Amino acid sequence: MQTDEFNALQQLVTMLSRSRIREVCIKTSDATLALSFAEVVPTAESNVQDPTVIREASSTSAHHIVSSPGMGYFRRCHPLGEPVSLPEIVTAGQVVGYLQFEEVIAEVVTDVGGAISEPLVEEKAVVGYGEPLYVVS
Amino acid sequence: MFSRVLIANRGEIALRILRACHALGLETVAVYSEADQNLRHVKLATLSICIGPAASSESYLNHEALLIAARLTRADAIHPGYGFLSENSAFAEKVQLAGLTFIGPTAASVREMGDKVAAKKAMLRTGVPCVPGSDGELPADPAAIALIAEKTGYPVIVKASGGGGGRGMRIVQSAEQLASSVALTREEAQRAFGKPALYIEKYLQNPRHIEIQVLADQHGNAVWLGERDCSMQRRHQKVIEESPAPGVARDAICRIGRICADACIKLGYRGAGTFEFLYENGEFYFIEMNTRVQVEHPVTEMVTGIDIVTEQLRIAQGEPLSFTQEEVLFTGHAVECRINAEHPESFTPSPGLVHGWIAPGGPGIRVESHLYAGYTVPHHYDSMVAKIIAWGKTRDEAINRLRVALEECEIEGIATTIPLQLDLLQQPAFRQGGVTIQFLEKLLSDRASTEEAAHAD
Repeated sequence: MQTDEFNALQQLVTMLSRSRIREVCIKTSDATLALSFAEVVPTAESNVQDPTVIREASSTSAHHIVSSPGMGYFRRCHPLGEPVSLPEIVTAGQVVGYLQFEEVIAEVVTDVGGAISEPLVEEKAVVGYGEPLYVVS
Repeated sequence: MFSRVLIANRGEIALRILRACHALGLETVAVYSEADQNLRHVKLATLSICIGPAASSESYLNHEALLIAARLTRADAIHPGYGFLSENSAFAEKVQLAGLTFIGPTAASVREMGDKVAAKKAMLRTGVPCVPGSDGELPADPAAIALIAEKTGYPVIVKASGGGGGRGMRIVQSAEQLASSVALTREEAQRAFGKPALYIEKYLQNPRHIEIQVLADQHGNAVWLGERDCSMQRRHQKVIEESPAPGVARDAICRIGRICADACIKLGYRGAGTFEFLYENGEFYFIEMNTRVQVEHPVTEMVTGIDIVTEQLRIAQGEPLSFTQEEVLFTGHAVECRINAEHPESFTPSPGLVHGWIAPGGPGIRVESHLYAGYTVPHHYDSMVAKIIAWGKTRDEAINRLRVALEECEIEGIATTIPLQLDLLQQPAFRQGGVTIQFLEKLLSDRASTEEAAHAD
């Protein structure tokens, strides 16, 4: 990243962190940046937001795990449908995979939007309740 | 024949079953709730799978979740342990219908013994002595109930047919209290067990709780493995168990043991089981049969050298019992203490992080526990975290070894009932042997009264 790009980005982050915007996703032709901002409660001693705190809070809250809603064989696509690939960016409520157990097929839905990782488990792997399936950041 | 056993339980018994399976060369599947992913047996099992949220109703009591887990992990047998679904005939039936082996009796046996009226009828039919009382379910007519109670002789106890473990029962001292007690218990029975059926029994004033362990195979063989005295109880929950029962003539134990083993053969019972009796004035009175492995089974294992969980697995595989009654030898004395994550005086639950755990040891000491340093005891389940069992050549030696083991035991971070157990082991009445089932309740209530009086002064 060029210095001027970095400076511009830093300014953007500072500006956004002072705004009421909590999540933002910026996509260019060759890069995607997803940011989310934690709320920092001002203390009596200081009402200035500590950038370190923001950075640390952001790095944890920016990653959301999409976990398995039940037990079954993990399927990326609907077993009876056409193979489709997931977009790089998903929106809250979007179906991101399926759990199959015999003739029952349950949807895996993300409850947050953002850039989604590759599946953390293999196709047709047996997954249990609550098992991490994707990271959305 | 099965080769992979799904353990439908948690805590120490899950670990106990896992060890028995692995020793026999069987693979295991640990199923666990979201609160239990750090249980020891989950790490040790061949395969493990989370079946649902922490609430038992959504995990360990969820029939469908367990059956799905079995199918996904290709388990071909299910061991239910104790508690949870171990005595649920509907679950046993579903397991059988799914083509899996239920490691326990048939669903029909579980159903029959789970219904206290049906169980009592079966016992009377097979010659097992029962507490005098109603022949079956109480009729609806209050006058007819009054007649039964009169004939039985007050005090009587009204019990829910579907109850057990001290739930759904009420003591009636006189005829005046009968109608209201029956109505209240009926309402409770409907609410708690889904059926309002009741029965009446003579209320024994000062009995001991003595139970007989049995094993029966699918080939018409049954043996009895001695008795356990579980009279040290609080709110119908056993606190200390021992074998043999102090002060009870061996020929009386042999007689009742033989009756229980014969009853198993007549009833077509298979697997491990326990006939629970009240014992008063030299007589045994059947109260219920547990169709599963008991919490206190190690006490019997220590005096007989027989691995009850392994035998359960062998019986479920269709093997005949590998020993005869004559080959069952009783040696020495064993005592078990249940260690609960509870305050030793108030009995309030004490879940939380276990900072440190140092298990006791030495000759004759056995520890059954899922604890380790860094483990968090969840608040969702039964509070028992360990069982410490001591064996000695004599009762005194076993109790002394147990005392030393309890003193040595370190569980840091949570309150436990160890101080209470140490206290009980020193009680003169316990040291003498033969306390009744009211002993602990009375000891605790006397202490509470003394404390109250001291505060009042």
